Amino acid sequence: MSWDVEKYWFYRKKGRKINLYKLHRTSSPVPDNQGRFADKGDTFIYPDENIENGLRIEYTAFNKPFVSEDPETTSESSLTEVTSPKESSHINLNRMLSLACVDYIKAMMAERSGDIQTKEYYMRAFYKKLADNQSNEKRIFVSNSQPIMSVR
Amino acid sequence: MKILEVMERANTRDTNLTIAWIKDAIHAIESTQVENLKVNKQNVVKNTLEYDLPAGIISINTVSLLDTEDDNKYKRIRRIIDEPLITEDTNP
Repeated sequence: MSWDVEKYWFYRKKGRKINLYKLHRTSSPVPDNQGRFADKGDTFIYPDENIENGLRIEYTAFNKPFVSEDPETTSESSLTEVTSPKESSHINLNRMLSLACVDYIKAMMAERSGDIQTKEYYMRAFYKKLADNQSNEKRIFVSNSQPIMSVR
Repeated sequence: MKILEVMERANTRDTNLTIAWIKDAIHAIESTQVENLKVNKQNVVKNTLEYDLPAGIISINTVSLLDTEDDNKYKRIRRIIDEPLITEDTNP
């Protein structure tokens, strides 16, 4: 019988675990038998009930990193994962992120040869492409109608 | 893009090393962007504080709890940053 969970439940990440707390309101306007008000305030308690499938964690993880079909032309649900990737396997990323992977590999190759300046250059290019990819998804067109009687 | 095309663009011939670096790159991508989301559901158990994070997790997007009084909707809960005063309750 959980209610107002967004107000009373909290979590805390601790290593590879999540700690779940419930806020227990203990402050009361009613004085005790000696006329004192409770001074403990609100406290966190352990979960005080069983909730089936109560905790939902949404997270990012590897999801079919290599596939046999081209992800640019095949829908996500039709892609077949390749567990032992070969040169003919596709990376399950769009073109921009695949190009970012190329920059990452160039950076790692430069690092291997001891060329840190070149490595930094390619890592910047890598993160630039990640930023471009993200901004591509958030492009919003805003149009404002012009008032009829406006004087310019 | 095929792995072969990536290798040609990066001018490398070591397939295994390229695949390992691609995995590292995907890890870095998933750390900063939301490309592939997965959902894990667990039972909340009375008097149990700790719950496992799912295997293979890279970053947490949201943590939600089932509101049984509001038509079984999962609602996002907030994260505590500070350590609570009580570190372990032996008699919850």
